[in-house]
Parts: sequence; C-alpha cells; structure tokens
Amino acid sequence: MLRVENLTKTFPIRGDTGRDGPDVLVAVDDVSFDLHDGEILGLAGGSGSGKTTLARCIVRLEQSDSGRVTLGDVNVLAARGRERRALHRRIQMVFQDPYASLNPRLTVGTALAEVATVHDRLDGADVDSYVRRLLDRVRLAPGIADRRPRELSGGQRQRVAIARALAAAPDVLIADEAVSALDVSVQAQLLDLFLELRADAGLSMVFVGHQLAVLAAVADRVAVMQNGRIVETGETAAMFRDPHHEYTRALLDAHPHADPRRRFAIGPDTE
Amino acid sequence: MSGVMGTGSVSAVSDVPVDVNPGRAARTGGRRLPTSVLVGAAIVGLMALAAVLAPWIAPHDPNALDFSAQLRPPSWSNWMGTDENGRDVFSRVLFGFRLDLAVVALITYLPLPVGLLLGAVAGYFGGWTETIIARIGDVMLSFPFMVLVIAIVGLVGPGLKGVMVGVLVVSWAFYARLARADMLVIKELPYMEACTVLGYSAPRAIFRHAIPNLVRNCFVFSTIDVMGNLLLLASVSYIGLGVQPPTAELGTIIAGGQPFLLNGWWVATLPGLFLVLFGVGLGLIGEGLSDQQHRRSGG
Amino acid sequence: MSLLTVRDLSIEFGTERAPLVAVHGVDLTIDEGEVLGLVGESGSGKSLTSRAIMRLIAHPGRITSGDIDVGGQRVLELSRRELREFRRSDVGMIVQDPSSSLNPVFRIGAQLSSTLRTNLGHDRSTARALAVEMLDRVGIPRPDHVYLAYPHELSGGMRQRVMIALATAGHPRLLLADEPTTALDVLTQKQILLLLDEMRREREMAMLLVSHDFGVIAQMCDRVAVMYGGRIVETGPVRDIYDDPQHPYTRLLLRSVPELDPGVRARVDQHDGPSSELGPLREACVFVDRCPHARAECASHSMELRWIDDRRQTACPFETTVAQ
Repeated sequence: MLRVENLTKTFPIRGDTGRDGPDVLVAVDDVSFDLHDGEILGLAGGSGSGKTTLARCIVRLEQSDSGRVTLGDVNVLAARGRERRALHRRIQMVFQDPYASLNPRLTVGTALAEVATVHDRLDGADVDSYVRRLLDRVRLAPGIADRRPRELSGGQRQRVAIARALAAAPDVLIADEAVSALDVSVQAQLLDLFLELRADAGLSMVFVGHQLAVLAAVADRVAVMQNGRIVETGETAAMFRDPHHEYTRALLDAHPHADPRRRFAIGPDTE
Repeated sequence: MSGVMGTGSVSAVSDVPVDVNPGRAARTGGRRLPTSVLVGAAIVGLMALAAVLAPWIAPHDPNALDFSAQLRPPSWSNWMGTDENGRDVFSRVLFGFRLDLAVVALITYLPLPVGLLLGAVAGYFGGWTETIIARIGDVMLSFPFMVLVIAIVGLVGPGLKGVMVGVLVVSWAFYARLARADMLVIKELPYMEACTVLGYSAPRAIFRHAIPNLVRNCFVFSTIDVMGNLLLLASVSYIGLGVQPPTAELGTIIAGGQPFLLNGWWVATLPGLFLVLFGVGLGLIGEGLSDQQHRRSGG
Repeated sequence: MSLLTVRDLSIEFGTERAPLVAVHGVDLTIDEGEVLGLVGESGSGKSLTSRAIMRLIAHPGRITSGDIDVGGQRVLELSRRELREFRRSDVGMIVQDPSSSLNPVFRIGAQLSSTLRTNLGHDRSTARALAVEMLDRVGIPRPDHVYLAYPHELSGGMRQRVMIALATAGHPRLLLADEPTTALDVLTQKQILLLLDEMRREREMAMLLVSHDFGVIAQMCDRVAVMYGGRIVETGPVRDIYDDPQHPYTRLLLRSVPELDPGVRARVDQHDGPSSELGPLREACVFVDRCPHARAECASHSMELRWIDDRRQTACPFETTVAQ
C-alpha cells in the first residue's frame, strides 16, 4: 500500500551548539519501510527518535530532504497541483492534541461537510446524511454536528478529528500520538474504535506512539525508531516477547507495569 | 521542530485543569457575552444612536446664533450651556459627534479588512510575501502619526480629506501587524496543519479557517483604534488643520471654548467628558471580549 | 503516628452562591517513610488535593473545609511565616512541568544555590559546593557544567532531576510528586522513578505520588487512593487493589491500562461521557453516569467510604462482581 524508501529529513540548528559536529539535526535518517494493505503499523520510539517527523514528512507537512514515498503507484513527495490534491484524499492524519486540532470557530457538522465537499465525496448524497453517517462511524451522536469543539470533551474531539480524516475516505490513516493526550479510559475506547475502523473500512494505518503498551493493543507490526533510524521491525507480539535490538529491549523494560509484582524499583516489595 | 520535542510535551494536556476553569462550567451558556461587553455596547450604542438621530433629536439648531444668550451655563433648555455665540453646546456636540463618528468609522473600518488580509497572507506564506508586506508596514508605522497627517494636510490642504488620507495610509499597518503575529501562532496549530493535510487550497485555509480566528483580536484593537482616531480627528481639528469652523466637531468646539475656560468652562469641558464616556464604552467592549477569549482558552 | 493526615478536605471554585466542587470530603493518611499513590484521570481532583497540602490553592479556588496535619503542624492554620518555614523544610514538591518552576532567565546553579542560601542559611561558597554536589546526587552528568546552564539548555529529564534536587534540598519529611514523569518519555520516566525511589529511601522521606498512570503508581507505591469526580472511591494496598478492585471505577481504570502483552483485551465496559465536570455538589454517586452497575439507589448515595477489611476501603456500597 504505502512504501517509504530512504527518507531523510534534517533540520538546521541555529546558534552555537557548543559542539564540534555539523550544525544539522538529522531527524529522520535514511528510513525505509512498507505498510501493507489493511495493516496497522506501529511507529515507536522515545522523544527525539524522529517518528513524528517521519509521519509529517509522509503527509507533506514537512519537506523531506531526500527519499521516496509511494502510495500504490503514485509518487507522494513529488505530486503537485491536482495530483497532490488527489493524494490528500488518500492519506489522512489525526493529530495528538485534541484541544487544538479542530477549528474553534466551526461547528462539527460544518467542518466535516467541508471535507466532503472539497474532496467531492458526496456522490449525490446530501450533506447532512453524510455527516450523520460519519459521526455514527466514530460512535458519536448525530446531535454533535451542531456543537462547537469547545463544548466537547477530549475524547469526543478526537473522534471528530478521526471523522474529519475519514470524511475524505482515505486509504491510509496516520495517527500521530492520537491517544496520548487522553485519559486511559477514553484512550481504551478510542483504540477499540481504530481497530473497528480497520476491520470495517479496510483502512491501513500508521500509528505513531511512544508507549509500547498502546501499540501492543492496536498494531500488527511495530517499527522501533531511535535517533532517526529504524532499529527493529517485527510482528508485535513476537517482538515484545523476544526483542532483538537493545533499544527495543530498553523500551520494553522501561514500561511501568500495572502489576505491582513486576517492578523495576529495587525494594523490599519485589518478590 | 515538533518532531523532536513532540513526544512528551503534549501528554500534559489530559491533566491541564481545563475542567477546573470556572468559565468552562458555564458550558451551557456558550455564546453569552460578558456583562462588561453588554454595558459597553449599550453606552456606545446609545451615544451613536443619538449622534445618528441628531437632526431629529437635537434641541436646537447647532449653528443658530443668538447673541442674547451668550455663555449661558448648563440649564434645562441648554443641557451643556451655550457658547460665546449663543449656540447650544449640546446640539453642537450631537452634530459634531455625528460627523466625527462617520469619519472615524470610515477611517477605522476601512483599513481593518485590508490590514487583516495583508497580515494574514504575509503570516501564512512567509518568504518574500511576508518580507515585503511587513517592511512596508514597518515604514508606515515608524512615522510619527501626527507629523505624517500634518504633512499630508500640508499637501492636500486643510480639511477632512487630508486627515482621512493620512490615517488610511498608515492605519492598515496596525491591523496587518496584529493579524500577521496571530497568524504565525495559529499556523502551527494542528487545525491549520490539518488544512494542509486535508488538501485545502491556501485561499480556503486562509479565508475559511484562519481569518475567522484572527478577526476577534483585530476587532478588539479597533475599539482602541476608534477612540484613537476620534481623538486624532479632534486634535487635528483643534489645531485648525482638520474640520474647519463653523462646522460643529468635537475638537473645534473644545478649541472654541478654550478662551472661555474661566467664565464658560462648560463649553470646553462637557464635550470632553462626552468623549471620555464614549471611550469608556469602547474600552468595556474591547476588554470584555478580550477577557472572554482568555477565559475560553483556559485562562 | 501518621506523618500526614488529611481529613474531610473540600476545595471549591466559583462563587459562594454557585460553588463548583472540585474536591469533596477527602481523607488521606501517610505514615513516615510510606509511599501513597493518588490515581485518577483528569478532573478527578488529585492535583488539587496534593497542592492543598502545601496550601497552594490560589484564588478563585478555595479550601472550604478540612484539616491537614503534617508532623503535628496544622497546615491550614499556619501563619504566613510559619507556612514559609513549613514549605521550606517540611514538605517538598515536584510537578509535571519543570519549566514552569525554573526561572528561564537564571542559570540552574544560581537558582539552586539561592534556595540553599535563603532556605538553609548557607553562605555563598558552601551553597555553591552543595549545589554541585546535589546535581551530582540526582544523576546529572558534568554537574559543574550544568551549574552554569540555563533551563532551556537541558532536556526534560535533566530539568526534572534539577527539580528533585531543589525539592529535596531542605531534607523534607514529605515529598509531593504531582505527575512528575508525565511529560517525559518512557526511558527517562524509568530513570526518574528510580531516582525518586533512591532518594526517598536515602532520606527516609514519605511520598505522595499523584498520577493518572496506574503503572507508575504500581511501580512506586505501597498504598493507593483512587479518585474520581473529586472524591476518593477506593483505597488500599496497591497489590490488593490490583488483584481485586472493588469499586467499578477502579475496575474500569485497571481494565483500560494498556499492557505490553497484546493478548485479548477485555472490551471496556462503560458508557461514554466526559470524565468529570465541575458542578455543584450532587446527591448521587459521582460515577453514576458511567457505571455499568448503576441502580436506582446510586442516585442518592453519599460516597462515604466503608471498610472491606482492615486495610481497604471503597465508596461503592454494593458487592458487584466483575462483569466479563
């Protein structure tokens, strides 16, 4: 479905870094991976690993320095004009911050309708029913269409953001830490939603997250990034049981288990 | 460089005590305007209405001379007394304010959309577009306002025309600067980035998404600007370069009353207080709107 | 003899006529050297509760009832001077976002030694030496370098270490940690948690750890209090709560916590709705809108905690079984 080849992205560092090295930060370093049809691929790593930058490059929010991204047979990075617009119809993104990812001045219904209109997804159906169907898919009551973002909770806003992404009927959805800012109970619901969407709509997803446990719940395969490179890829369950790379292992060991018997703190309670 | 710093910094959001913000508890209300805005709007509205209806509600003819009633103190027939020519000050104030408001509305709300648009475009595109617009704006703003107006008046001749041209040439830059600054901020917000990801054209992103969020601040600023322009107009007329006597205008009235401060204080002071009241009303609107915005965004 | 005793704490916002209750009727105790976890989602009131212990509730919030007793001192009755002393030497606090506690225009060393000088009366050179030593103690590499650095030059993890150094400078008996690792990535989080544990043992401090992440709580705490909607809904030893949660909300919380083992996740059984909103005091159980076991009686429940055994309490009066 989606193929990334040798993607590289650097940022210039301004000012005196006090270091002897070159004045660029290599955020994404020659990264390649494939996203298969109907797959949910997790992109994991700590801060500075480059996973968010990678996601942003794919959606063209950042301009990569070199590399190729192909969706089917379309060259994503080079598309211009009409071709580019068609591309945006096929790859969509859900952002991390539910409080800033919706335009505060638009009602939910207006925002969703706009996507459908711009991308010509209405197919003759009238706007209201399209919006209602979208809201239904993300398990929101149809009445939400008349509300503004500030009247909604974080979980609801994220669902609207997902609905907005779905309104374009994409083939690929990129979720950039889409549940990281939510409470756990809401997070769990949203993860279920993502799984449902994959099952019903055959969406392929790249799920960027820094918590491996979240990826464990939702991803089929996981690619672990460190310092801009992918250090390990593999099927989720297998990798988590038996990691090959030390960074993966470090990430797994750092997970704070809810089971108080599995502590990493050294103390009298560890039995 | 959100890619580098992204991971940690926003997880804080779920625990930002947004729910603890008292303003948000009024979620049921949503769109209600705060009291200060309503009070301010009432003041401004009434005064503006009085000005508009001046020809019908003014108790006397503003230009009617009556030498038998010179410098009469405020009374029931002359709420603000009479000036040295026996003209009713209150009627003159009403008509003068009417003229002032008309001019000021024009010179404030004409540059607003122009500046807003230019600023938004400059902020959104950056690069040369931004540089050109911003630098021209900076040049305009670096002129001492009054001096520029006086210079233009010198070219065009005294009277309203000069003042208006002067203000228009410079005023847009205030709004442009404001709009650009705000645009630089919201451009980084996810909902604007979403416009790119959703494949929206630049005009759509700017007009439909950015500008509605930029208007509020420009409008708040305009309440200050209106007062500023009003004072400017009055000042320029006061020094004789704006509206010419005997046309009633707040500045000329005050200037005219100046020689009589000792025995006819009302001619110069009461119109001044009238202006102040208007300023207070505007201030309430501007402050109220601005506060509401702050409270809404988590305070 | 408990080090910290909180009784019937209530915190409100809004006006006297229309109060918005953020925290109500909270009781907590922490013994010397014990670690108590306060877990809850956003809006649960856990952060406010921890701040109240240091009397850091600012207008428009106000503490409307309750006693807070730390080592014999009644915190809510201290004078300004006593309060300063209290904050200096009896209690320390670290928060989620160290950038707001570190002044960006001053160097790290300056802030640290200034604290040491004013709070502990050291002279300039002693303070400096002590500061460097403390930076080293909290695991900061090249402490004399960092001493001269500005906050923005450090990573989140380093800043948090500085915060820990600052908070423990006065050898407090109680450390309040309010979401200390939420803004850090998982590797740094582990390091910071280990550091906190080390320092706690070394200085024999008791700790109140506030977090929305049950995993963090489970790693560090002996006992846990679960909060929802401004009330405590369950308390007990962390192991007991993990093995057999009694309150429906605790069960929901535990089931929602993502685990590494990507086995079959039980479908989370709850009704949708905002976590909790501020409002006037309600007669009902705070969880009634989302509880899958809600009954008619729940609409008039007083949320009092009842003892299950000698160590555990729950606010749910019913014996509900775990639905599957």
